Amino acid sequence: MDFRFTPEQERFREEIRRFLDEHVSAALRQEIATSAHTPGPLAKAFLRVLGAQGWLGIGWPKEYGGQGKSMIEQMIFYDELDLRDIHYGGLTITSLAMTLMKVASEAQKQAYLPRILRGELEICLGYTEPGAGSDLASLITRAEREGGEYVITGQKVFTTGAHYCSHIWLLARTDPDLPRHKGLSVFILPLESPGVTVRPLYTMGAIRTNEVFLDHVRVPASAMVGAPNSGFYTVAVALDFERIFMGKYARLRRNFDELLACCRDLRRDGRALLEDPVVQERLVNLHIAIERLRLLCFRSAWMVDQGKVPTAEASAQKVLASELEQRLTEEGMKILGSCGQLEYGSPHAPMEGRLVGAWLLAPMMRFGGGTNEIQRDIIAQRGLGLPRA
Amino acid sequence: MDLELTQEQSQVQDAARRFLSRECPPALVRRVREGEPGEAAALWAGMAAQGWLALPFEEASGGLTVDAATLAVVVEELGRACDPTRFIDCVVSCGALIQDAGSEAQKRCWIPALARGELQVSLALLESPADPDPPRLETHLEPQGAGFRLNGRKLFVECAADADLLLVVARERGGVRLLALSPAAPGVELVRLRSLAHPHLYEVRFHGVAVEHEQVLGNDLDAAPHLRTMLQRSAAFLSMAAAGGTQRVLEMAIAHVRERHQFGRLVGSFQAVQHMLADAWADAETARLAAWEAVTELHSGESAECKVAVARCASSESFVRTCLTAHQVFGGMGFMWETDLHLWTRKAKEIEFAQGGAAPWRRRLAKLL
Ligand SMILES: Cc1cc2nc3c(=O)[nH]c(=O)nc-3n(C[C@H](O)[C@H](O)[C@H](O)COP(=O)(O)OP(=O)(O)OC[C@H]3O[C@@H](n4cnc5c(N)ncnc54)[C@H](O)[C@@H]3O)c2cc1C
Repeated sequence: MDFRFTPEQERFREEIRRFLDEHVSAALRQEIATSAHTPGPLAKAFLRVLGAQGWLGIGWPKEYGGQGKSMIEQMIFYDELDLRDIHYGGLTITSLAMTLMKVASEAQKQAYLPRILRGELEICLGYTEPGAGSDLASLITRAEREGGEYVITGQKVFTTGAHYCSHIWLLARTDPDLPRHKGLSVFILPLESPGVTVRPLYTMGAIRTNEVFLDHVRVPASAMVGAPNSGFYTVAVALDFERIFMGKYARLRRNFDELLACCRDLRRDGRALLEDPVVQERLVNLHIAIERLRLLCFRSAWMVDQGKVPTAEASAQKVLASELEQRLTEEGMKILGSCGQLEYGSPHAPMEGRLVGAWLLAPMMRFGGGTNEIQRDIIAQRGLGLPRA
Repeated sequence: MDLELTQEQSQVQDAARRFLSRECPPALVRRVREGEPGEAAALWAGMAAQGWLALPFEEASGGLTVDAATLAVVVEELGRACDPTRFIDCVVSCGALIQDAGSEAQKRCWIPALARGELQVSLALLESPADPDPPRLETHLEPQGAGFRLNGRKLFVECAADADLLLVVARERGGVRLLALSPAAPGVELVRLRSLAHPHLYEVRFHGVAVEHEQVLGNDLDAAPHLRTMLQRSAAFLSMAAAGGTQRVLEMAIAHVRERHQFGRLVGSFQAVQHMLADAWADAETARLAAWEAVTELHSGESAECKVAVARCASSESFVRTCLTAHQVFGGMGFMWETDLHLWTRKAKEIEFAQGGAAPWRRRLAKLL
């Protein structure tokens, strides 16, 4: 066993750091701190810079213009971006593009992959509906075949990014007579299509999401990804990719490091917070938990590089990361005392209010992207081989 | 032992719940949070008309002389309703300080007005971003002419800009003084803070503010013992408010999982969901009992301090934890700004952080054990 990165991987990390140090301007950092709802113009421009330099395709196979790097290297890359809050197109790059490579037609690959790679095209996820959250297969948005077209009518909810993405990856019912899972298909369509209406949904955290209404939206049959009625399978492939990237540890590490720095600076009863044994105990526990998560992240990545599929591991990553996010922010606020409640832009706000921002987002991490209860079912049933309830 | 409300207290509870469901709907809580404290003016006037603002005071100074339990019943209901007013800060904390430490003339001047809802007072206590314990006072009074001059700064002052009076804790030579001054007085500077918890917090700076003898509570008195009594009482009532809020949030969570279907079943029929709510129930029940024990034993000497400390720590943590559980069982809906749940989530943090939070009580408890 060897837990160290190879010298090439270390050099790779240095290369990324140099690139980011050089290209991430103070103005971009300022924009990131103040435009939480929507990537601003500088973030969008930076996405294209990443694209132009070939960084977006780092994990893509060479035949699609990627660098064909291992999953470990991808993890290193996304860690470095996460540490700086850089917008890199998220799931469009890490999950949907990979799924397209697996199931899309040649024409679709030609149409989408090069533009995704250049950072020109971003796709939002249209799974959830008002009546279909955890139970995605109960969704009722209909896509009916009419000649060479499908006509789509229905409503999606919590469609994050629909107000700045160019396309939506939509799961809809194509055959209502088949059993629930079997009558679904995936479509990619431009959000500008006639009949699509996007309405904002504001949340308790600094994230905006949307409702998307589809009223007789006409798309060519070629907008369907994969075979008709294979949508649930296609989504399962996408979710497998998604889960690997969901439970990452880098942002936790960053927040922890900043918390640690605050504990050095802030004083209580005439001494630095860090000298208080109670604070030390809390920080030590958090550090241990983040280390365990880091190990699990790299184990999943290593498994992928070995040609294995991390299922229980990826689900456990998601559960650990989201619950640790809640715990780190909660404990951090307690450690900091009264100023722990102050938000971005307030006088005396430690960590520029980042801890408070993360605390408000943490509930979403625990139920979003497949709730932690569903993830625990996956660990128990697919990982441990236990029977279904 | 008798762990039920008396008949009279139950009537107060029913009346309070009816009044608040009418006068303090979540929409009002939201308006105050998104706007200014003045949005709650009508509610405040209604609370005064109910006699609530007179509850903690002696009849002699314009109050109602009720027992702590009756006040507790009302505070628990306020917590349930996510009360957006300054009740605990103004009435329970500042009112009690004036009552305990004020001169007869000061009581006559301020308490009846406070009880009528015409005088809004905010406590200016904390000074350091990370709260030392006991509060180290930099804010100080120096004699000047016939009166004093005040210098220093206070942090986390609730609704300072909308207060008629700030009740400032300051040091003078060896002792601790309480003094009342207008936030509009020359030399007082207000800086708005932004908190996820309390929507209207301020830093208040004093630049050589002129203070007259009549503004100092009880003239030559050392206010430290009064301050301790007040902090203990307020901690007990903050616990009561937290207990009320916790119960309400648990009820909201239960109502949601009784309505929401997934996989052809009620979400509340899943064992994982039931276990989360079962834990939340035990959390809420024990926190409520601790709060009630603290309130009813407030006057029993040293053991009261232990009870209050337990209640303060247990209840604020339970409130936050129950909100987080509620978010989990609500899923995406509960995360929306338009859904009311987060109003309570922020309230839970507001109560947790109030008056320096639970941490000083933990340290106190460690010494008392
Ligand atoms: C800010 C935000 C952004 C989002 N972005 C997107 C997006 O871009 N695209 C998209 O499609 N969706 C998105 N979502 C939706 C998200 O994926 C769903 O909220 C999530 O899947 C849970 O569904 P739900 O909210 O309907 O909760 P429900 O499914 O109603 O769950 C409620 C509770 O019941 C529990 N439960 C349900 N089924 C079971 C079971 N079988 N066993 C045990 N417990 C169970 C859950 O664990 C949960 O605690 C977003 C949500 C939010 C809040």
